[in-house]
Formats: sequence, C-alpha cells, structure tokens
Amino acid sequence: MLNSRPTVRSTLKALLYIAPLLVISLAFTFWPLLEAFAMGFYRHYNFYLNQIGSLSLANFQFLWHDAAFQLALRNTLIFIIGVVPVSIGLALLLALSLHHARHFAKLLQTIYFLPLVTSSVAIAIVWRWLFSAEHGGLNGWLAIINRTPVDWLNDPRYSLLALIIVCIWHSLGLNIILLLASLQQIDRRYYLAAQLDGANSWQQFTNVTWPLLTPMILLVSINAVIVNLKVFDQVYALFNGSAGPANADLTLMYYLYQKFYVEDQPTIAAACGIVLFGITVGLTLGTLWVLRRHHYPQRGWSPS
Amino acid sequence: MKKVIRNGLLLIVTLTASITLAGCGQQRTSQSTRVTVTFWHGMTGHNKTVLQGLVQDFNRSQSTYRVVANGQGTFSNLQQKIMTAAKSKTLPTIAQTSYTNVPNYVKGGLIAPFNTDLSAKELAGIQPAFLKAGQYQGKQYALPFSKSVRIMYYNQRLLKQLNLKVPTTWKAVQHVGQVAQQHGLTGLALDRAYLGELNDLAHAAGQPLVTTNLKVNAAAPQTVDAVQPLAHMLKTGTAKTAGADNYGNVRFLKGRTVLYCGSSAALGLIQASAPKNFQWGTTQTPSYQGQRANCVAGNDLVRFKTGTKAQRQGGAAFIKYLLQNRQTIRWATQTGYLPVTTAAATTASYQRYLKKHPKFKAAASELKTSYTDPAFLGYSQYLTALQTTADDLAVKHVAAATTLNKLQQTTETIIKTNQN
Repeated sequence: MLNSRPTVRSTLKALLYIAPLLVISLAFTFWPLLEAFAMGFYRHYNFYLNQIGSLSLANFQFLWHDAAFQLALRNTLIFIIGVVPVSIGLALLLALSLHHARHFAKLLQTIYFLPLVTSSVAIAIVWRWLFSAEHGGLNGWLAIINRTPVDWLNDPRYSLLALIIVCIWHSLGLNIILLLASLQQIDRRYYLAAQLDGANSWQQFTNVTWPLLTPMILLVSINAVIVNLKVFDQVYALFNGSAGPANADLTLMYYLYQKFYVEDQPTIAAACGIVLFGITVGLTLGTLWVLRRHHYPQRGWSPS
Repeated sequence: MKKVIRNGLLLIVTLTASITLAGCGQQRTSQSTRVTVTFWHGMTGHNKTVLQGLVQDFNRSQSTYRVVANGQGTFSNLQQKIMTAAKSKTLPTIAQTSYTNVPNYVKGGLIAPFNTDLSAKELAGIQPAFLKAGQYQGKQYALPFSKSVRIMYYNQRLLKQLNLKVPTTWKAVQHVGQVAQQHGLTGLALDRAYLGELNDLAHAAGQPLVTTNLKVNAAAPQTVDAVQPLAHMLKTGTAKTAGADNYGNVRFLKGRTVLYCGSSAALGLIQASAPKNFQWGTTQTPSYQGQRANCVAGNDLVRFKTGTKAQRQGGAAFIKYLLQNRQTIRWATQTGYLPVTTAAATTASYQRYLKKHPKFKAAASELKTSYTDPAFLGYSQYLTALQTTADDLAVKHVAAATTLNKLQQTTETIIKTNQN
C-alpha cells in the first residue's frame, strides 16, 4: 500500500484528508503572511479603511535610516551571539552530565525543563528580584566576592547582559532534553570499539559523541537562532513594558511591536517583519552551512 | 431494552433542549426591549468596581438602554483591542481612550462626534481644558472621563529631618536634592516616563513643546533653560527615574526619597500601599520662574460609528449620565480622578470631600493652570521621541540642548510626514 504509485484518485483522496488543516493554514497563516508582506510595500496607507496610496520601497528606506531600527538590529545580533553559543554549550555540558548521572537523573531533567513550561511573566518577576540593585540575589553574590553592586535593569551597560542571562536560562531546558535524547540514541558499541582502540574520554567525545550528535546540534542551533531572533516577551516582562534603559534592550521584534501597536505605523512594522524574515532565513542557512561544512563527516556516515 | 433506553435518553434530551430554548426565549424577550450599548474600558481593581457601580445604576435608571461594560485589561491592551476590532469591524459602541488618538480614529472613519447629542450648554459645563482637548476639526469627538494631572508627593518625616520646607519652585527642589544627597538620600523620584514634567517646564517657560498650531519649540532657548534644572538633578543623581519599576512611587514608598513627581491618579494606590508610619503629603508641582503649568493626562470617552443609530444615541445618553454632577462627584471622590465638569468641582459636596481628604487638594487646585497637548496625526510617534529625550537626560546624561535639538528635528519630521 505504502509503496503503491500515486494516482490522481489517491492524490485527491489525500488532499481531502489534509483539506481541513490546509484550509486553516491557508486562512490563518499564509494569507495573513502574504497580506503582511504586501503591507511592507504600501505607502500612504490607511490601515482602518484599507486604502493604499501607492506601492514603494519607502518603508525599507525609512528602516535603513532609522536610528532605532539600527539599534534594534545591533542589539538583536549581539543578543543572538550572546545567547545561542552559550546556551547550546551549557546544554551540551549538562546533557552529558545527566547522561552519565547515576542518581536523580530524572529529577534533574525535570528541574532543567521547568523554565520552559513556566510563564514568561513569572520568570521575569523572579529575575527582576534577582537583578534588583538593592536587594537582588545577584548583587548579593557580587558582594561576597567584594565587587560593587550592579544596577542590572537600569544601567544600559548591563541590561542587555541581564536579558541574555535570562534567555540562556530559559532556553536550557528544551536544548538539554533534545541533546539528551540524541545522546541516548548513540549505540554503546561505538564507545566499546573506541575503548578497544585505546581512546580516552576526550577522544571518545570528539570521535564518537560529537559527530553523532551533530544533526541534533544543527537542529538545536537553528531553532535557537530562530527563537532568539523573535525575542519579545522576555524583554517586555523583564523591563515592565519597555525596551530597557534608553532602549538598550530594543530588539527587532520589540521594534516591530512598538511601530505597530504604539506608534500606529503598520507599514513600517510590516517592513520590519520582512527584514526579520530575511535575517531569519539568512542566519538559518548560514548556520546550516557552517555546521555542515565543519562537522558532518564527508562520507561513510548517516545520522540514522 | 435497548430501545427503551434510547427512547428515554431521547426524551431527556428533547425536554432539556425545550426548557433551555424556552429560557433563552424569555431572556431574549425581556432584553429585546432595551438597546444594548457596549462599553470597553481599561479600568482595573477598585476603579473598575466603581465604574461597574455607575453602569449598574445607569441600567437601573433606564428602560431604553442597557450598557454592557467590558474591562479590556490595561490601557495598552485596550488600545490594541480597539485597533484590531476596528480592522475586523467589531468595535463597541463607546470606549475609553486618550483624546490624542482622535485624529487617527477620524482618519480611519471610526468615530462619530457628540455635537448632535450634547447641547452647547451641556458641553460648556465641562472643564475648558478637558473640553478643548477632545475637539478636532471643529467637532467634539472625545469627552473627558478619567483625568489626572501631575502633582508632587513629599515625605514629611524626611523634610522635617533635613529641616526643609515643602518646595514650591524648581530651584527649591534642586536645593532639597542637594541636601538630601549630602545625607545619603534621594531628593526627587520621577516616573520612567516623566514626560509630563518636561512638558510642564516648557509650558511654564512659555514655550509649549508643540503648540496648537503644531509649531515645535523643543529647541527654543527658553525650553532648554527650563529643562536645565531637572537635567542637572538627573545628572548629579539628586533626582532619579524609576527605570524598570516604571513608577517613582516604588522608590518613594521605600522612605529614602524626599519628593516624588507623579500622577494624581496614583493617590489611591499610594494611600493603599504606604506603610502605616509613613507620613506623606501632596502639593502642586513646582513653578518655574513664577509660572506653573500642569499637563492634563488620563483618558476620555469616544463613540464609534459601528452599531445602530439607537446604540450610538444610547452611548451618548450614558456619557451624559456620567457628566451629571452626582456621577461626576462619585467618580472623582471614589477614584481620585479629577471632576470633569466645572459645576461638580465647585459643589459643596466635592469641596467637603477635599476638606476631609486634603491630599486630593493639590490636583484639584491645579485645574486652574492645567493645559492639554494638541492632538495631531503622529502624536504617538512624538511621544516615543519625547521618551527618547527623557531617556537621554536620565540614563545617558546627554546635554539638554543636544537632546532637545534632536527632539525638535524628529518632531518636525513626524508632523510633516503625517500631514502629507
């Protein structure tokens, strides 16, 4: 049955099966996506009456010259560079530890997974307390090592770092679970063979674990890039509805929100969305290319 | 047996359905005689309860209209909801919003003016500054509802401890800041968005940041001079903004800040959250070179074009009801918002209330010097630019002249772009 050749009848039948979800996807995902894409090119647009003055690239020209957009772009890129490698590195380290843990492995997995299922607002409240300049937990630690307290949320030099810390912590759970699942899939016989060849732990990691883990690292990296490019709720909740001190935490998604909902500039927001989409595609392809080029074995291996 | 069970179940389902439908029918009959007016607002907590009480009383007094009030969460949630509902054509009959949104709503053909429903005499009873704010292109599109002004809160114990009097001028506020700093205290706390204070200073200097003719005065030498004292206090740390706390009352209530410039709408909250032994008072905002100006903030009511004519008339009838003395005083005394009509503000009952609650006097006395920003297309963009100026002064400590020059250019561009 599965190997039978598709016919017009079978294709129509399949289409019928997927029709409900296809209709929903077309109506609520693709159509709004196309509308938003088109809106990025509207000029003199009356949002409420849906009257379009003309089509042009003026919104993109505005973005190009807008200092706030440039700041948002810069902040987003710094944020991605700060969050993605560290969160994946830490997740890998913790996944390896959990993989080799003999006791409480399940309990620890649950603890690490908790941030992912906790609401962003609740997380932000806890972190705001931890970052508090006067009585915050982090400054308490700094005091122990004789360092001056930092006003994490109100000092523009530290506020982006504060956001990066929160997002690393928040993203750890999912990354750990995915990497752990992948680690558990690796056949033990590879390690036994490596041990027979006299490989030490590091050599086993670099020659067995890392290559076999690469597909999952690729997936986790791409997912992390996409998720963190869209960072919004953590910024909104951590800084109480603002983009940090003097816009120090203004990200592209926050800029988009600001333009659409606060400044009544839907076409600029739509243009920003298109740019964000382009960056997402670009960074995803870039990540894919880098990891494939440097970490996939050239031949003789398949991630099955 | 199976047949008996099936028939029994069928009977139960039929009976339940008939009873339910009969109930719905009766409900529909009793309600169909009254026109439903939907009202979206952004009131929460105690204020929401007071508003709900007003709605209930209106409904009890009516045989023609029935108002259904729906709280939409915070004001920003409410604005987002209006924006999306306008697009999907599911707007309510009336809604709470700022008059500064009026130009945008008029451009979108969303709102209807009140001129045909409220007589000139009824409109004349509204506080002039509030009334003027809601006018656009010669028509009255917004009517005031929950209005507030900036006032100054002071910590009585700290003032006494520092041997200082309640400051009445910005010069005196600067002095308080210096003395407080010498004692390891903060002189002045401000909200993160202390735009009202910046605006008031410019106004007091005779140079409104944006005039009614849309002339921008942000870079005028008088404006720069007026902003200097505040900019200096922020630079030297004798004044501090709330930052991620958003509102300066958080810092003020910790008891180590002498003064706090904030909204009169926060009075109820401060009263409720102040520790028992916390002695505090309120006064008018400081004057600059003998002049005092108080920007009116808060929200108004607008009526959308959606719905039937009867519904729109119902919306106007409800607003008229709210503007009556009794309701205006009830709203003002139970929430701390300003009375929106001159008659209500001068009634014996409201004056008695002020005597009994002296902390509310400061806001009421500022009505004389109150003003409103002009509403124009792009106002929300201008507010973002003004917030950038506020951040430049408070966070980056940029020179007042530099950031005000930038504000001048940005605002002029915003006005020009939106006029095209």
